[in-house]
Amino acid sequence: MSGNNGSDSPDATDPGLEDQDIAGRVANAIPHLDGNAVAGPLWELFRFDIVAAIGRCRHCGAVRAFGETMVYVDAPGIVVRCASCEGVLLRLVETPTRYWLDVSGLSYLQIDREV
Amino acid sequence: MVGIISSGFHGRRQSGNPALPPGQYETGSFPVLTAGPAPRIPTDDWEFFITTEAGQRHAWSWAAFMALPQMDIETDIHCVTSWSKLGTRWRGVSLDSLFENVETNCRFTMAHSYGGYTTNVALADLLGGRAWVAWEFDGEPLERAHGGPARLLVPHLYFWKSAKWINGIELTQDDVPGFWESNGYHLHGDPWREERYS
Repeated sequence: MSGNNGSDSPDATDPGLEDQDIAGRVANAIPHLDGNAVAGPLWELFRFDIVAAIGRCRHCGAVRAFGETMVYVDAPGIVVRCASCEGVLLRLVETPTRYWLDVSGLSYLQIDREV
Repeated sequence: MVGIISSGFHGRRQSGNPALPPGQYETGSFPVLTAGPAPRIPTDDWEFFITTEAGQRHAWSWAAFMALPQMDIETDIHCVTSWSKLGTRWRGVSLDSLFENVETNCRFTMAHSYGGYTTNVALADLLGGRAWVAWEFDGEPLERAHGGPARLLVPHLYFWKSAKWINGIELTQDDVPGFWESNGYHLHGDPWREERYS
């Protein structure tokens, strides 16, 4: 599957565009947040602060702080992507009766213990 | 339970409008919902494919796609996050045209998008004048944020089935869950039956 190249530069016609994922007008932007955006929901589930955790991306092998991830919340669920390769690390869907959590894009999470 | 999904789009709940499926409200805007970055696909590089269980691959370049019969579509669209947009206007190619010379015994399909998104749609839901590959919205080329250069349009199902940045359709023997269907959402997604979750 091709075409998902997040390393593209912004269009020359719009050099001030901060969101490099989308060409053209600012109104076209698809916003994403960082890992802090998913901290609350995951705290609700697991009672640990995931933002400082270190995770390994199963797609590209990058080892980075969870807080650096790209989080898409304007969607039917929360989608957390690797900031290095844009692969999906985690998906979280809330239905009226259950949570659906997919962490198959993470090969591990390293979580500091409270000392 | 505190809701953890913030779609960011809220509107006044309406009742009594027969155009609105249960649990939906009408919005005048066109919210952008997406599971990831928008891929950049120049039409020179774009293609649409259909693959069959026999290994046949049918493919159209942008020019070949544009040479197919074009249809104007006016339809309501319904997002599973509860907004509906009524009377939207599109232009595109019917899946009936694209499947005209495709031989298959499969009953199911997987739609594949540039960028990796997938969604499963029964073949019967793609045929019979109910689904299109749309490239124009409201008289303008489809914006990239809304799936341009072309997206699937299956308006009788929740809009997550109308895959943005559509690349092709894979015919499948079984109903295999796609991106959202494998994580809590309904395999079919009929808004009038409120088929939101699995």
